[in-house]
Amino acid sequence: MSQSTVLTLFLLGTAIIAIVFWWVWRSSYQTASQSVEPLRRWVFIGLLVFAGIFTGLTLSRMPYFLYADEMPARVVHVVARQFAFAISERPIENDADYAAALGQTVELPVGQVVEFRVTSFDVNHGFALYAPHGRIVAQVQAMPGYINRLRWRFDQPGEYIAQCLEYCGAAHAGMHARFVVK
Amino acid sequence: MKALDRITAAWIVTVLLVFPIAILLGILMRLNQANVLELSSLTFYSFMTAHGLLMVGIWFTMSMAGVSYLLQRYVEVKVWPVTLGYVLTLVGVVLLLAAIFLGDFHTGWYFLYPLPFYARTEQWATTAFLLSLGSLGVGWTVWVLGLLVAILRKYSLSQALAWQHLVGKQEPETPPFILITTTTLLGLVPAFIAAVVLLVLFFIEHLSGVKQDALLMKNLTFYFGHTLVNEMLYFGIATLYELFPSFAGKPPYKTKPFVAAAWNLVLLVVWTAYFHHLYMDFVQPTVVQYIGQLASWIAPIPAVAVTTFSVLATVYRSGMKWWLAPTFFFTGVMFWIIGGLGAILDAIVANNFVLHNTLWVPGHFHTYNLLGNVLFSLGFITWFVREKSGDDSSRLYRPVATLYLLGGTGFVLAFFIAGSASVMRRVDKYPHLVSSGSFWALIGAIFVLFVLTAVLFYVFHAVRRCWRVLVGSS
Repeated sequence: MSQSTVLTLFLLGTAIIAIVFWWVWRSSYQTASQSVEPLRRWVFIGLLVFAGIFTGLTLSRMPYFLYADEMPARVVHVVARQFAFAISERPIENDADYAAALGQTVELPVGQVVEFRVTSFDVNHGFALYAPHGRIVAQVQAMPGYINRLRWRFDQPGEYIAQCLEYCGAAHAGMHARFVVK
Repeated sequence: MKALDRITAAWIVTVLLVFPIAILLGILMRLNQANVLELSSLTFYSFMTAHGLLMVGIWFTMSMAGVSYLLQRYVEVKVWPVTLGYVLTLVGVVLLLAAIFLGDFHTGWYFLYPLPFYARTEQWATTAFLLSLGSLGVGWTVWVLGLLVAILRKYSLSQALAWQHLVGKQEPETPPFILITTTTLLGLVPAFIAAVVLLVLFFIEHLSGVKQDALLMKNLTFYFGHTLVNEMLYFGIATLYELFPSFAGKPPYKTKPFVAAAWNLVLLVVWTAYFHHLYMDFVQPTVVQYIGQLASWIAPIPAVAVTTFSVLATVYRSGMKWWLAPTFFFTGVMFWIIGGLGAILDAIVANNFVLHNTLWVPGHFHTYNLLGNVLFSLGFITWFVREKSGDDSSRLYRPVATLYLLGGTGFVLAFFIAGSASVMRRVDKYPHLVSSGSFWALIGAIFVLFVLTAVLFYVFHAVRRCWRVLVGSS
């Protein structure tokens, strides 16, 4: 679901909830008592069906299995450290590798699967990919001692920004890296 | 004057005096993000840490204080665990504020491992912070256990969980308040155990330098943090079950089989829903990610079908006389489920992939806290003030309710809209790529000024009356 779809669904749901509450509040100025208890069962069943359909549809779209049956065209190593990302097509295993990779601009292919292997050398960081249109298209966490593998296919060429999304210290807001997709 | 009246009044006075200060910290943060103010990064993140910890702390303890007071209707409540909770909370808060404002401790309220060891913080401040959490943890654990023991002296565990009602028996009767309070207290016990383990592991690294496993620490952190926040909402719901029918002139709610089933289910679900905080940690076993989404979606069903439906059915054509307390509870339920809707949309893993750590998250948790849980506690406080002083706050009704609800709605909407535009949370200044964040921060700050105005009116009114209870002149 895109962010706009989620917002639309949320606002729609909020409007329905607010209307129901407003209607019930208005009714409270009347005193003609009327039991609505038989409705409870239908509310429960309705919610169950709604939740079942929604989770059923969305559980199959887990990001952990994206392009799992495809061979990635590129493998990109990402190491986060306060307050910069080192991104390289060579493994980054120590401080020297990290320093060498800092500031490199990586070029990635459009329309092909790329695997990011993301970790951290200090604290937890986020690794969110902002597309040229300014919205997040994918993200994963960078955790010390673990490598998170994120597969993604860039369908739009241009300059992407990887932004840290996990609060990591005083200079967190400025922690980002750029790469080009073409 | 009974001791429980006094300690409840002490909690109310303390919480209401801290609340506007914590709001002010939030406003300063939003104004900084709007580029109206220029705070240093360290100051901003210190404010962020204090804001989060104070808000969680005061509203968790206030919801506990409300439940402790109402519990005396059914069982004998010892005052000392409540008082010990109060004293150790004060000690913890003083240590906390010293660590934050004198020692530059700025790791956020959830102090995600291993950030406390990497932040530009005074060495003593990390120690003070960990000690403050220890003080809060001991105080709250003793308080929780004290209430559980009080319940279990009268009810067996199966009765307190209303299992006899599950199989259709009417006797012995377990009031919904006892059922909800018991499931909530039981839900908190393992969360506090997780917090103790977390603190011990922090101290081990702090003292010996032995590194901990980051994934384990993150699981412990969110298991504790999520459960604490979730359960404080349920304390608010327990208060609502106890007080709300009387506002409509109706008899107390009964524990029907579906009520018993719902709250027993909630007890189980609440222990696993926290997994949704770790969706973006792909190394977490995938099966628990599925459990996280399922649990997050199952949890609201009983909440909506049981609690919300009961509240609506109570109000429907009831001829109810509206005043501040029932209005707080009624609108609190509405925003609780609106916030819940925002939360379950984010609890879909595929959505979290693009919403995690954006402003969508503070959007939904401010909705069900500021406009939900806080209103439940304010509903209790308003009722308590009327019980003790006879003043039903009628002069405040329209201005406070209007300012608070209008301001709160605009404030949270600014979060939701910005979050859907990928504006990130927890940054002191917005990077150029999400420049719309500054605009929405300004909108949020303006709206929350309405909330602050309402709160100041309310605090002035309620604190004076509760102070009289505290000093025994009421």
